[in-house]
Amino acid sequence: MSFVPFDVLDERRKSISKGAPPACEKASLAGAVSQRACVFCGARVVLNPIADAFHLIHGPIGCASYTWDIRGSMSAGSELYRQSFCTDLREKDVIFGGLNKLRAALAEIAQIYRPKVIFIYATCVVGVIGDDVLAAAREAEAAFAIRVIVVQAPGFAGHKSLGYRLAGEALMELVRPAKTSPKVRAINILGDYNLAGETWIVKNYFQEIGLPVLASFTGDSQVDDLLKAPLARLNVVQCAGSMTYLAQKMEEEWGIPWIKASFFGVADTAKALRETVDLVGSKEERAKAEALIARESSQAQKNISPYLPGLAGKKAAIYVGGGFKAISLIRQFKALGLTTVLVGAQTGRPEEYEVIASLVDRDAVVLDDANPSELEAFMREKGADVLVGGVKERPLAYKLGVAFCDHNHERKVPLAGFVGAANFAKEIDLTINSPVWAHVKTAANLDFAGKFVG
Amino acid sequence: MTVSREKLTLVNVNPCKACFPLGVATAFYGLAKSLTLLHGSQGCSVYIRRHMATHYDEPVDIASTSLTEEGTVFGGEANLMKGLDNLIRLYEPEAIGVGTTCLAETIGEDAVGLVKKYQAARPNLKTKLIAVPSPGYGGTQYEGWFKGCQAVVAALAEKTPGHGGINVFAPPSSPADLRALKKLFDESGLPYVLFPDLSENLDRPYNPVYKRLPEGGTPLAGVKAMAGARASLELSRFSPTSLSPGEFLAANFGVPLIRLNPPIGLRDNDALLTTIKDLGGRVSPETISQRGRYLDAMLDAHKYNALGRLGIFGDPDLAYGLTRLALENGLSPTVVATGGAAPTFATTVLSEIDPVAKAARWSKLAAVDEADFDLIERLAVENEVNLLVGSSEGRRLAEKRSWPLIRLAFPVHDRQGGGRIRVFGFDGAIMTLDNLTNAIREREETTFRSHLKATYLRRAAEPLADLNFRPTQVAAVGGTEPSFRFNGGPDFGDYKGDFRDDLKGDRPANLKSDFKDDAKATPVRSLSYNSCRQAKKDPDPATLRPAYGLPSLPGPPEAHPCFSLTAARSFARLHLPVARDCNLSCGYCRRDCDCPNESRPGVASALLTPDAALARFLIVKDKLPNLTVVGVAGPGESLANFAAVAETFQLIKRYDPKISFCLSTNGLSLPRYVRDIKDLGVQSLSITINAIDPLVGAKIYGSLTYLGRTYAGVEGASLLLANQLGGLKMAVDLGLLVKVNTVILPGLNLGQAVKVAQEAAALGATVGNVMRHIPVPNTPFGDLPQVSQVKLRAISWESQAYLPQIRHCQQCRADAVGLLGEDLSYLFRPELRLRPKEELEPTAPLAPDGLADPRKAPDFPALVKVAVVSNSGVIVDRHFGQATRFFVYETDGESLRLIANQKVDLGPLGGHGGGFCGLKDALAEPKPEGFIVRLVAAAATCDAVVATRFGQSPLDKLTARGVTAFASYDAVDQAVLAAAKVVLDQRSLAKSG
Repeated sequence: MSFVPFDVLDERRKSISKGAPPACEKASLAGAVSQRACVFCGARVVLNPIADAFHLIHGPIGCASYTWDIRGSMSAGSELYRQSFCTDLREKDVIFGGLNKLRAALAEIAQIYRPKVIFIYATCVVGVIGDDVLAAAREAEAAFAIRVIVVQAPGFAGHKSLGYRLAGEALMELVRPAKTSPKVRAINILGDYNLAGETWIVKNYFQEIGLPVLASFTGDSQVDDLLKAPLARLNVVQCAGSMTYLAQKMEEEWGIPWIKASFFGVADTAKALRETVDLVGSKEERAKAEALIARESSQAQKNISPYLPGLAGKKAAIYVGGGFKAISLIRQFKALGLTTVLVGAQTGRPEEYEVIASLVDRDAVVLDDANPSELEAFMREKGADVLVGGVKERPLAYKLGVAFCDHNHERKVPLAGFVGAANFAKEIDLTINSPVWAHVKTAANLDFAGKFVG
Repeated sequence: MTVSREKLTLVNVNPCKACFPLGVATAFYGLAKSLTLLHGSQGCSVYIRRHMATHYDEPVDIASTSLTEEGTVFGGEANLMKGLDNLIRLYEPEAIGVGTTCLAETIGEDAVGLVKKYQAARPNLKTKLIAVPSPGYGGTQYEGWFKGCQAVVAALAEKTPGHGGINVFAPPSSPADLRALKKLFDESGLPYVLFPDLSENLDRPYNPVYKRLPEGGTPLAGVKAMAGARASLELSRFSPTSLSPGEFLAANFGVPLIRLNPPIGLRDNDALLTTIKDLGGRVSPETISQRGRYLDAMLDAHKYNALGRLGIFGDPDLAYGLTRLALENGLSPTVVATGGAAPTFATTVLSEIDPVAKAARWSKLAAVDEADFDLIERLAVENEVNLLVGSSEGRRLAEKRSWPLIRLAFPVHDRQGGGRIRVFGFDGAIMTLDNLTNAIREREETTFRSHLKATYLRRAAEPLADLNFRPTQVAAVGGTEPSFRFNGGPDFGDYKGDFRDDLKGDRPANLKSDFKDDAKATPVRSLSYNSCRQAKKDPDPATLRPAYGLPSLPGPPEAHPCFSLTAARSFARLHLPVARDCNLSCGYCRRDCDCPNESRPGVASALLTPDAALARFLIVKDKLPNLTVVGVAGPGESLANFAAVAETFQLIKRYDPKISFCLSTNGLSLPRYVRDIKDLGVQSLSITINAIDPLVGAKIYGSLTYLGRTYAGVEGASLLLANQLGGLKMAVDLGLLVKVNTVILPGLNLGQAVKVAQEAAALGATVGNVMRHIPVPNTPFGDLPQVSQVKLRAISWESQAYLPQIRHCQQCRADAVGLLGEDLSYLFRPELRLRPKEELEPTAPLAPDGLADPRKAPDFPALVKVAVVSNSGVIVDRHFGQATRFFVYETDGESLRLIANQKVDLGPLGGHGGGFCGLKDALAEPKPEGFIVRLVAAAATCDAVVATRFGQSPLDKLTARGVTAFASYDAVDQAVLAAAKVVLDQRSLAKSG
């Protein structure tokens, strides 16, 4: 289209393709208004759902303000993780160092809260002024007999993906002292953050099948649960973007094999359950899994089918955090009768984009680390009816007259599992088929001189 | 009173502020066709975009130079240059604000120099570049806003010939408020430039043609001309001189600066209009009539507003303006807080409030800067706030405390319309006032009935005939159909098994394993009680109760039978006997299990495991839909068995998240567990505090065990007291409702009850309850006579002066079930052999003269006549003093038959407690004269009388008349036989003796 060159910066061209994998895993381009956040963000997202840990941000206040309880991770127990704790460094701390403030804060926390573990997130400034946060942590561990784990997460060290890795390192550091044998016939779930109770939904399935879940990283987790993780026989990795690194480390150190398993959509959920029981389940459990799948998928289909006529032939755009989730969404849209015309991720991997390219039409736009200008241009070019994305993309979609589905960390309706698949259909339907679109678009063309100009 | 921040905590807990660059980026949204590039890590711009986008519901594009490790080490110049190139290409803006971040400033990036360099290399650059050094640690978004404004003015304003225009600088405000401000100035006829003007940019009308850069905002040319203006109006009280755009123009171009408060409320809008008039402008008739409407609204709402105690938080200007609006309307802003450092804030705000507070005689207030929500919560609790005003960041606090939150400040993340908040102008004042008043009215409208009932309603003695029509009256007594299945009891009558087994059919097959998997170990925390005891030593009597009519309490008391008499009439509770151990020996207590014969705390039929407790809960909830409270009240100390209590509550919560939990405790371990209790969802506590003086306590208590050590005497009593009071204060701070029980022991602690009430009130307890001890044989106070009702009543009223008292306490069993006066626990005691209800009809009614008994004669020596005080007729379930009728049995010691269901004539004024639940404010008024005498007389026609308890005076009277008083809580049959055995033994003893 004619406006495309105008909306796409030269350096971004390789990151955008049609029906083929784009370039990815690159640093964000300055001035491009990337939608993806920083290293700190990645680490905070992954670790924060550990409900009874004390999450302390060592740095100026902004990072704490913007990440205070903004995600919908649910906890069955402690609510400590929903607080925002920060050393609130000021100008004089930046000049003279923030270490004394941190030391005093750790002492206070250890005495008042006695948490099992304190995670210290060292942000940009600390990364530059050289506070010896590690030393302060070791000191506090010795003095107060609690675990203190430092996450060196200055924003500039990379983008969100590196933050995921650092979180993986922190989790390994946390769990490493736990016993690693004998293995038990049980699994861990990785990369499910219990948004809108989704971890519970997935756990319920495994419970019915008879496969115990030892630890969930990190949705609805408590420190003690995570310490059981090394005994599992298999890691089931849901959000591959954030947890592949941890899965690899756990395989390396404790010999736990892992599979990627998406619980988005009926087909992917069934596949995930089957693959899991195939690897660690008994014959009996496989039978139970099949029974569950048969029952739940037919129920889901029953719930989904009323929406199908209203969705058939619509065009979907996807812009989400990780590539693996995008793959599931493409499949889900296909099952609902929608065509995916645009798909992108903040932190997709090459192998994921290959799968994506194989799933979408030849002229569908595939893009990595997109910005608002590109989303705007290509959604218009492709005539998307609905965008699935994050909070920042929502107002843009509406301004463009495009329906929107919250598939982000603030969602309050579970979208995982069989029940989530039906919810997803409902969510898409309620936005795409809302009466407001027709009214607003017609009304906007009313010229009060008396005639329609549209 | 200002509160020093440092002593509370070293960590910012739940920030009430955002960072400096957010303010800068927002200000640039008010400059036409401009945007912001933040030099630093890309997270900063993404987070700020998210924070703004969810408030305004608008696309927010803020670019980042995406500094990396390399840029951090070798300088970010290349990124900055590249970023500008790309941004100009994508957006073609008229201006770009080049802001910095924590990172860029810390590594020493010179934004100003770099921008100059960029411009120098591009002489034809049309985009105006404005560097704004803005480290996140440099202040909050409030300072960032002014810094951005000043930077724009400094960059654009040029010396021009003087013109008649006015510059208007707004503090951080909503787009809708800025639209209102523009309208006001448009109508004034004065030429003016408003900056920043967010009005069309962060609250954009829908347009089918989407423009990447919004089209509104202050034109660059407008800012350029500001240097030649006649005057600047800066609508801010607190903008720091060093950051103020008005001060800048005054200093550099000699433009006179008029500083006004932001136009919030009557006085500050009037000040603005007066200034406009002074400058030669007009005030429109519409504004004048709006003003009149606001005055009218003030009058209409003032009485409701007198009930409002506000906790206001936000930017200094907004918080200050809202404080003034509140004060002129008779609302009491008792806590006013701002998140950033604002040195003059607290004193300025207090100088507004103090005179009003003094005149209105309220003393509790606080104004504070550098507040986080942890501090705001403490202050709000302390100063009895009942309505929050601020940003949606207060929503967790509002939810936790059940305070309404009026969202008037940035950010609003959980409601629509952040961009359309209205505060400025008279119409903004009207909307704000309506919002505030309506929150108060909503509270009043939804609580006044229960509040008034609970406070003032004293039921007159029930006419006896009325009893029969009470819905839950037992069929056998009233002759009406039982309206609920429990009455007859046969459903459970011969139940002997484990309740869990019985449940199997009803619950998912995997439930059992489910419990095990999810039972989490409860963390043990300990806290120094000393640090928590901040009791005000000499409480001002005026502060003992909320200054205004509405107590700022969350909902539960209305539905908790032990906190409210009204609730006691309609809501049931369930005591789960899961607490086995005790850590304190009280002189009046003996813990008993498998003791069916008594009704008092310390007694339960059987201990339950948490699983069994859940099972009982499920059964009871099924039968009693009015079950609102589950509590643990023994038989031991709930906190000495905390693991079992915690597991029990967690299990129940999974099945019924709405149920509210309650605990009874002696308070010894309260400081240690109070946070856990709160986390468990417990909403109310009863703490038994029998003495304030440890010397008295030492006489009441034996030994106690705390953290593995045993204490006794004054040492033990002191420790207990410190923990009770410290725990009470902590519980109140955590939002729990606390009832304080005091057991009156004549000769020991008569003078202590009032002191307990005084101290408990000062620490924030909700209600108090004084009660008589129940003499239990073989305890140190087993022979101590009970205090008289008259004396108890006097103590209760004396205590009421400090702490509201309840007077309907039934001193329930540790396994009580049902309505307060209607204990159904016998239905869960399989060891009781209950009679089917058809047998409750008398088999041989006596002659009409009723109590004349021909058989009480020498020729029927073997027969014993026993009067039973019972409501259900199935078990002994009434105090003697509550009797309105007797079930009269005749027995030879082995078999028995019911011969009368006998109404007692209680005299013209009726009895004391014959209602269906016997519940009334028992100490509210003196008992009808002589009714005990009539009761005793009626009972005296029998050999023995059985009731759950006997007061001292009837006991003496019965004994004097040769009637054996037999306390029991057993099934009627068993109790009658047991009582008869006592009588027969006495007879044979008398014969042989």
